[in-house]
Amino acid sequence: MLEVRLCKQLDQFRLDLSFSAPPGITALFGQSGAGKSMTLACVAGLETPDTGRIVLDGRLFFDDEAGVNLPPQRRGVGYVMQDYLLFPHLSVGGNVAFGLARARGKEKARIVDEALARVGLAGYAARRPSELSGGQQQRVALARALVTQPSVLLLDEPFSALDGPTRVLLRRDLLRLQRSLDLPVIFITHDLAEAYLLADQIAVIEAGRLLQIGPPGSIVYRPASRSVARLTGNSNFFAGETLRVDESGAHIRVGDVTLLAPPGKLAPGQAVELGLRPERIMLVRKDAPVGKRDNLLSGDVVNELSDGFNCTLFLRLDEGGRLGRGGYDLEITIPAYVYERLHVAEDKRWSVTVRREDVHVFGAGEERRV
Amino acid sequence: MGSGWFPLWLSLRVAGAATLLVLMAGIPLAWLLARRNFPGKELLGAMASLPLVLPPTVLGYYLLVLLGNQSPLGRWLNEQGFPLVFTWRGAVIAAAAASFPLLLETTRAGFESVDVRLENVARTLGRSDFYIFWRVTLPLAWRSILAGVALSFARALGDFGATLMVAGNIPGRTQTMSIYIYDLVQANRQAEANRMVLVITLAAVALLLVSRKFSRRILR
Repeated sequence: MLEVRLCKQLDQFRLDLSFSAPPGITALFGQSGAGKSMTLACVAGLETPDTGRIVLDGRLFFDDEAGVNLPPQRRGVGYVMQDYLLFPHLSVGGNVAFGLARARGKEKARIVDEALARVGLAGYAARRPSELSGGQQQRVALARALVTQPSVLLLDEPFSALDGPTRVLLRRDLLRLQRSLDLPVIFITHDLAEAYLLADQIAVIEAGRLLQIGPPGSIVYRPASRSVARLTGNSNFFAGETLRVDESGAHIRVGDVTLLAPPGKLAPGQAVELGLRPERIMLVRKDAPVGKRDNLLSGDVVNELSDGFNCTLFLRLDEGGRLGRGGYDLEITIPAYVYERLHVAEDKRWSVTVRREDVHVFGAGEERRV
Repeated sequence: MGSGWFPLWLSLRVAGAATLLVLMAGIPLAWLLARRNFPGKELLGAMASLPLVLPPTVLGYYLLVLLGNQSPLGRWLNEQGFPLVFTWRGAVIAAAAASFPLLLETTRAGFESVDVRLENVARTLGRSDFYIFWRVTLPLAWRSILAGVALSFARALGDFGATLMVAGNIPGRTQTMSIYIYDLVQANRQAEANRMVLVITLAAVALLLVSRKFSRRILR
């Protein structure tokens, strides 16, 4: 278990956060410049926090009050960065063996060969880093970190520089490796899908602060604040006011409409903010039987975008039933095949529905701090 | 070897010793300037580069004052039986001072061109800073250092003013090549002067080529 609490004044903001990382994969997720890399560098001992405490399995790395600041050499962390950073003047084997201070001769060669085999590069020891592809270089960097038998693995955007298929392969390898290692792995990413795919827990970081930490599902589907919702792909936000709360849920007035949300701890008259994930807004099939649906709205598709897999529709609701005053009210994402099956290309007039559970409610104004 | 070749031999010896001296002092200082932050760092860098812009005679004068009999350091050196002023060793000091900035700047640039993050990764792999310097930083900066060595050797070989001030012009003892050429021209010994000029020009061109070859980055 890695426990981190640190404060560090940076140029643009103050890095001030704490979290723990049990064995398993923890993703530090956030935009570039949020302080993720600095956090990792502090854990590795390459940067020094102003104050705080960093402990790994009872071993004290840093504590300003106790005056402890272990140098990186004695922390036993494996550190892998986005652009691999292999030593260009050493062979692949020389790179992997770099951290092997004790082993000699045949023993050393055996360890290097094993480490390379483990990352799928058996027989590459004599090559030069410049002869390898990006994915292979990143594997070497991983092998180089692993031969020192680190007690925590720190990966700073390890897959960002790789092409799509290689990235998929390496992600799979990391998952397999993690299962055999059973140590805390902390990796930085600004790709939500990657964080969701790999991580056991996601820590959402913005401007030096931890906004929320938890299992991927809770981050995406139970965001603690508007910022987390926005960072995790929520794009429909509305200010509203709670009208009443009854057994069916909270009735919240937004624009001309009353939306039904989970009851939560809302009180009548309370100002709130609502978030609707674009892929959780469903088009209502025209041949579907009319039944009771939560939050039924209708309007016209005024614009649309497609990335080939998903289509984003911009829906403008009917006058008198609008949520806001912009050019459109809702951003809706549907899979491309649904777009084709429903013939959205020809038919722009739609009713949509949002399940009560998919209406995220945040307190208005103040961000909730974790 | 005829006495006419003594100045060339002396110049090579002086330049060689000066370059060695400059290397020993320049590499640690260049590393400090490239990798560490401390108060007065820029001032130190500027001071070390001063010989590049000072007139050589002025540089020589400072050295003369610093190392001569009037200074405590000069007196102490004399008592140790190691006088510098008006000896070939003085010429080494003068040539070293004159060529120091050239090696310092190229070496510093060489160290700065090594990605600090490579050194950081090496530290997380458990290696000492000393080991990292020898196995990562130095091997990646050695082309720049060699370029600096060639440049500063050429500068040391050709020094005139500073050497003349500190070591004087004693034929057979402190008369280096460039001073000898001056004497030859003064004495109207054109043919000998031409020969010496040709030798030193060829040496300078060769050294410049070496320097340019190494300062071109081959490693990414």
